[in-house]
Amino acid sequence: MRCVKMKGSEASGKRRHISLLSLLSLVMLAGLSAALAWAFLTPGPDPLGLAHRVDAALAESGVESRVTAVLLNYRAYDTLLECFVLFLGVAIVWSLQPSRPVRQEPRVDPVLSSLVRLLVPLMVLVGGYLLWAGSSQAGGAFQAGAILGAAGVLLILTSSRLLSTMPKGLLAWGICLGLFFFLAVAVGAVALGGNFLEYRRSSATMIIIALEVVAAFSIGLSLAVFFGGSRPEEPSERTAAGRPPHGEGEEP
Amino acid sequence: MMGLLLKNDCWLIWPFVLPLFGALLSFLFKQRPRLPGLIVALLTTLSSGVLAWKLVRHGVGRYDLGGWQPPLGISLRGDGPAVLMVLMTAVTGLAISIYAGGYFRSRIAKVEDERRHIIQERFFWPLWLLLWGALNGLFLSADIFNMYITLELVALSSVGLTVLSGKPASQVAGMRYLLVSILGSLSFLLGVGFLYKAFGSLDLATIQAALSFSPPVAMAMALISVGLLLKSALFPFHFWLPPAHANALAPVSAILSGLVVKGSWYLFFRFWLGFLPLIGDGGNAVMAALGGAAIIWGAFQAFSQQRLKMLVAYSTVAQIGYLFIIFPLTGAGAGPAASAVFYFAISHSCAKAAMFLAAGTIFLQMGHDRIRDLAGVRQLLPITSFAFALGGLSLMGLPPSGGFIAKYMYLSMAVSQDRWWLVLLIVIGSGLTAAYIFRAVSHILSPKMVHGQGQVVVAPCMEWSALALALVAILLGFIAPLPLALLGVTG
Repeated sequence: MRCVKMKGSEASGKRRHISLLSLLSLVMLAGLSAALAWAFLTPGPDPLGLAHRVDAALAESGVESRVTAVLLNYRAYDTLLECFVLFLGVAIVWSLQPSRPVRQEPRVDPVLSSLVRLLVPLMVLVGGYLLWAGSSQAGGAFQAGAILGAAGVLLILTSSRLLSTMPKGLLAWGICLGLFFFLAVAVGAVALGGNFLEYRRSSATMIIIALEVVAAFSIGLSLAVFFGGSRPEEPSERTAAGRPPHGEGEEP
Repeated sequence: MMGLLLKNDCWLIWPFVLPLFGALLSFLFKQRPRLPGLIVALLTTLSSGVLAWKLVRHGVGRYDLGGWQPPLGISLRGDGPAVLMVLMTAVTGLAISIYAGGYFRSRIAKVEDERRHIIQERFFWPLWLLLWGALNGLFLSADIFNMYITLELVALSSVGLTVLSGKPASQVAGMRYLLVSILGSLSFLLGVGFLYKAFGSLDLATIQAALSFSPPVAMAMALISVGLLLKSALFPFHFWLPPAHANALAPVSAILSGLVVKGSWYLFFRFWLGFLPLIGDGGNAVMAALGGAAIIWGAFQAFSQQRLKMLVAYSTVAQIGYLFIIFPLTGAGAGPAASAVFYFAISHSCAKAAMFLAAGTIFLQMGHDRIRDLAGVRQLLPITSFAFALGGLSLMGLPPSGGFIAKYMYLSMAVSQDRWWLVLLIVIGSGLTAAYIFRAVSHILSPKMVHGQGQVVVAPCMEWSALALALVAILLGFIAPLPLALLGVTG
């Protein structure tokens, strides 16, 4: 509404239309909120939930943290698919027409670069700690991956060509690594006589930690790629059919 | 070891594990993503076929993922409807994959903009295989939170495929599709939260067994229904569908209209059948009214379109209506109604995908898809024109086609339950469908001297895969007992 007002008196009819629309949506939002509050606050059936089951099976799960047990053992299939959501994000970002790098020229800012030099090792350390802590308390692959992704963003900020000069295909393999490992563990369990994603009790801890390490690496890489935007430039891509490129190119 | 991988109940996992693997492979082999893409498409189709065979032989399959029993873990459930949808996805998906191989080859062979087409193909295969895997996961899932994740994967990969063409129109449509889809997903997720609060379980069967009315349950039903209706594009929520489906690449349009819409509808159907005791006739009447409005409105819109792909897209809006007018007929037992509506869904999937593939071939050959300028297509693309007409035949519900069998089942149920307004609606709807199909087909089949060779050399596999799908839609009129026997395996 405010921006319409700023345009002046040229479209008072339009303004009335828009204010009516916003009033209507406000009323509908209020109605929805009231309905949600009514549904949430009225006492309904109050079952036990699954907490007691989670606790009862914790000894068999291989980890001490309930959250990790749910994410990587009881409902690991959901987590596998969530990792595919991140992969999907990377594929879609890369499929869009290439955007310009975040910063055109790497302006070497001495403060920023020395800060990054200090911070990045520390962030990798914190990420590693979160991974290790995940088996017994809050933490785990997604948290560690977020920290690693932030470290990646800092690196991209200081050298804007980092993603584009990475060796060909390495980035894609790194992103897929966690998913391949996850799928291999899942199908491997079937090949060894269990169900999909079923771990033996004796090796559950090792498998979960290994899964978390590899997944955190791929998650961090994916998140950094989201920030980086465009697809890495590959010389082979241009000559894939043996002819020079036509139409729009990636480079200006 | 191989034996363990191919055990009876293991067949439930391959229809989604194989495409997920394939998505990663085609993403990594970026020089030639077509090869792993086609191989995995073939393997996925085979595994879906074996799954259907196992269902008939051994009955409903259950699979506890991770070895954990349902309230704690997630389980898969392969009953008749689920496996039939997996099979539908497999048949349609294989034809679309073969078409896509030829489509991208033909477009890359055009010298101009070759690089853009190479990049489009490079990302088409991972997105499409991921979508296929997510759809199969959605059909087979027995866990409502897991359904949410598969729904999200389906939605995101659909949006990615929609914007792949890079045209501004498709990007605008894709953005709108994304926003609507996310709104639908969030609404669904909120509903899942309320259901968990009320029942302390995420297993759909457990919830439906314990269902009783309370405010959280009412809210959950409303949220889940609205979320899924948004994604299924039922009448008032259809606004995002035509531009998104019509402006996408040809194989993508077929995927979106033939398969993706069925995913959210399938979930809606499963939830709604479970909710029925609480909803009663009122809710069913609302669904039928919206479905009826979709049939009439979509048909009128389709008739007034100038572009062939927009016509086919609005036809999807209309045909979705038939998937929802079934609900008042569930009163006399869900079994016959489910048979009719699933039969409609599978024949629509084959026919609509065939029509979109044919329309895409016509677009590629002519360089446009303005209906009034399509005279002469018959000479240039005889097989494709025939495929389009056959697909239209099934949509109209003319015998002998899958669409005819489905509409016949609808009508006989409506007559036996004295719902004459439904009979009237179906008859009028079929008449309107015939009107817009004839309008398109009369231009496509009208003779005209064609100068020159057209835009590109169309690969034969593009023409034949569309025809094969159209023939499957017709064939469904002859082999009705087979899918119905598969559908009948429940319990």
